[in-house]
Amino acid sequence: MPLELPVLDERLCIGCGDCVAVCPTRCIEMDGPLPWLPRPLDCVSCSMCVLLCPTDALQMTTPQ
Amino acid sequence: MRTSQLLIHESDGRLSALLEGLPGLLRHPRSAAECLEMLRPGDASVLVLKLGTNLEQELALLAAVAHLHPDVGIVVVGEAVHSPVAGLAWDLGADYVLLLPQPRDLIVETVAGLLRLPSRENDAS
Amino acid sequence: MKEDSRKQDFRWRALLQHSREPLFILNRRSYLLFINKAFEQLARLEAAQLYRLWCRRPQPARPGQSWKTVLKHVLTPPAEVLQGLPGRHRRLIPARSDRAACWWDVDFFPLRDEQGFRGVLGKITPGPEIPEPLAVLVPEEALHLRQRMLERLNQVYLGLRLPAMRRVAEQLRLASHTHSPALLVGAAGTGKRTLARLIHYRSAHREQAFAALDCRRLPSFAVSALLWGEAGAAARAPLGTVYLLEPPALPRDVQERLHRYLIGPETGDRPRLRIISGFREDPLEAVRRGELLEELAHALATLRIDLPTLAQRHDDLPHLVDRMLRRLESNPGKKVYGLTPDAWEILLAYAWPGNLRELFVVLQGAGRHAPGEAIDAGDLPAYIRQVVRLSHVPAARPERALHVAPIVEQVEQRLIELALRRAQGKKNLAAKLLDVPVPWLFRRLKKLQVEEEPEPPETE
Repeated sequence: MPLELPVLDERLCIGCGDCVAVCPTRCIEMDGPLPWLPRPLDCVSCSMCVLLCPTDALQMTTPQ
Repeated sequence: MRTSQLLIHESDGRLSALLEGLPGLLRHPRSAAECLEMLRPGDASVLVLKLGTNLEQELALLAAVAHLHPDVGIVVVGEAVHSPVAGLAWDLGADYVLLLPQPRDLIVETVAGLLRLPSRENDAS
Repeated sequence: MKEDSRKQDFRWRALLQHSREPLFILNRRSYLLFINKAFEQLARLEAAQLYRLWCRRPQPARPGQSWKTVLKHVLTPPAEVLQGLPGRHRRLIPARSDRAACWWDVDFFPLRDEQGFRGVLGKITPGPEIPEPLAVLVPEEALHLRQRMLERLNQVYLGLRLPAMRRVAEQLRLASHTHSPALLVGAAGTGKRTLARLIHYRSAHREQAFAALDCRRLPSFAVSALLWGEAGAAARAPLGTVYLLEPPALPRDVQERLHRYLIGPETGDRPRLRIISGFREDPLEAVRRGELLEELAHALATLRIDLPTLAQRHDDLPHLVDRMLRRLESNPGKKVYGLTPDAWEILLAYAWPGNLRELFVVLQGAGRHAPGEAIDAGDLPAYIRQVVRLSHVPAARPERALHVAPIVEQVEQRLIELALRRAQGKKNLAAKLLDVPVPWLFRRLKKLQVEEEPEPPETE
């Protein structure tokens, strides 16, 4: 169970796909215009996606 | 963010043990409110709902999730004694209703199948 | 003249009073003004006991509450009746000491004059008893859930009066009067499953259950187990209609069996299920690609209904948005009542390739973000705003350098933080988790100046 998972604010996401490109475990994918997590268990919480998002649409949070 | 999750609502851990290893973040909502909190708009997760502890609450949970998250797959698992309720579970929006005992393959494959969302690119939209 | 009109007056009152159907009349404020003899007998109460009962109780009575309270709910006219729309509504009558629980069908007929709504004339048709096992096992609240679901579905049906859907409404009525297979064709998110439910709950076997099966995702043995009772007659017994989404996803042998099932004679022990199928494109395309048996395609297509895309129902958007917002209201905590003109402009300009499903998800997400009671343009997803109005694109940071070293350093720091968190501060354990030598971790921590226990400062 990953410690933290990325959470998206779709008001900011411009669909560039950088988060998908940069993920080292390929746990994030594009689903039409927005990214999603088809394999959340593969996430290692490295936060590369957060660092590289050009509009700061991603944040890491702890799943409740 | 849409996340593939496997939500299991049961009083003992038997279904969780059976469904171990399936993809999807494993969560254990204890109430309808918790369950709805765990779901995001458009979520294509799967809820496995075991009947028996409190039918009123369990069916209300089924109805609430089916109403607010129509894309969440819901598998209702009951005992043979719940057979009069099977029809009600279907009507309230279950994607599949199983009355135990059942071959474990049927349960596992049904849940696994609903977790697999067909890729959008393949859909003729 | 006066004598005549008094006689006439007496005649119609007598007609109502002695009519075999239980009748009631509510005034404009839903106070009970009149019940006839048949109603007295049905309710086992005298008119005087119920006179001026206030029938504005949308919530069903809780167990243990009085019979009068139950009646208050049963006679409460739903919102659309108060707005002038007659209709039949089913109400649950809880079990009493001497009677099993049952349903009453209540017909509400609103009465209006030049000043507007004046009252309601109602008729009760006592309905089927609820079978013993269900009545005993399932709490009444659960039966109310089904009723609520049906009432909401009725709202969808009322929305079909809008111009773009009139043809669909007509075909729906046809389909609900027959048992033949119906075939629904519509793009993803256009409401096929909802339409299938509508057909079922308006058909002759509406008392039986409705099951929607996704043939693409469910294992085929789950589908056949349900259709042909192998999962145990119990799980299958109460079904009246089965909706199959994308039958081409079924393996050939199941398709063949389904074909035989549809054209074969009715077998003695179980009445045949009514089959409705849903396709995202013309089924003949699937036949051409060899994914669907041609005979099955024909057997499924006795009645075909094509569903328009949301773009084709553009004028329906205000009604659809309103209905979806009300649906979302059932989630406690967040109440959103409408949209700002800016938000409307965007919704109306967007093409909605994902149709109704996309609209619902967007409204659901925007409703969560909206600080107040109205969704504003800024609460909508950027991908929609940017299609419609380029000025609304979120400002991107100046393009991020992809220099390896600083990025890798940040990721490294992050992994170290996470490892420390997981190891609860114990550095030896953290090093193990990171699969690095302990001295390496210490060096890194010093370099990153991560907060540690207070130590005497090192002299440079």
